[in-house]
Amino acid sequence: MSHSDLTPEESLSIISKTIEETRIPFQKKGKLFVAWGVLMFVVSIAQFILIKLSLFHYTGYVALLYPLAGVFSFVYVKRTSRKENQPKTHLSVISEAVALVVGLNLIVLALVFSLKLGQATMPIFFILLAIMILLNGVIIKFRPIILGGLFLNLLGFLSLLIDRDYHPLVLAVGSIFSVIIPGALLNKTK
Amino acid sequence: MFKELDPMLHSQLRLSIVSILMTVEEANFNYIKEKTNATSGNISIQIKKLQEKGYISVNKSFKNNYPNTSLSITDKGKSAFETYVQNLKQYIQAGE
Repeated sequence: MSHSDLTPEESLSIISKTIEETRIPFQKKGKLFVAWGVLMFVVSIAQFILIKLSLFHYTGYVALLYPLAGVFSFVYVKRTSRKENQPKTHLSVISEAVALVVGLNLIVLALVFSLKLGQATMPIFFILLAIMILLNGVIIKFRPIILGGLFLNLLGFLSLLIDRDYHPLVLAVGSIFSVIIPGALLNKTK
Repeated sequence: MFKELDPMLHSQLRLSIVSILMTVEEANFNYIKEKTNATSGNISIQIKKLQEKGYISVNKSFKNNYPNTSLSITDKGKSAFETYVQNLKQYIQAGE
């Protein structure tokens, strides 16, 4: 690339072309979304079955898969971005910070305050998850994820009206429509 | 009266480097090389000029035992880029 004198049009063309090429392909996030959605679905169904079998104390053990998956996701994202030589963008920094803050809040709520919160524990989880999904959708400007976040947000409030035994089922529904389907659609975008 | 375009930015490679750094929080040397298709030597020279002018900051470290040069734009660089784009608009509008 030379650095000869440029016309204003050439300068503008360089700026817009460079900015366009520097955009990170966010559809790579789709795989992670689908993986999380499937995990949420499996854990929710397992918890529902355990509750129906009156094996309540085992539901917490199944939920331990979430922090494990969180660590795995963090390592996966860091490794992929290093391997593919991706730069740190303003949006990826915000997205990671939101995921970290919400993730830590969910862990604290689950481990420390779940007894105190009682019936409201899962609805609060849904709402926090919905905020994270919604923000990610807004950050990458992808409508299906925004709608998925709004849907889960709505489910969060609706689940306050439902018996807690059925909360895992609500999350299973939420995982399909708020995470798996939007993630799969994101995977398909060019 | 047209304002003069900043000569530090009015160069193809330097403008590309600054445009990349305006878009990202931080980018390493190899990423800049990949995106600009310029030679390492040429990039190094332009980075040094931009750094001396205070438009970018350069952080040299080691990642997995390999040297890693990461670059980011400074507030001065951001302001210069914005002024450059504003002035550029004047030229383009006048030509229309």
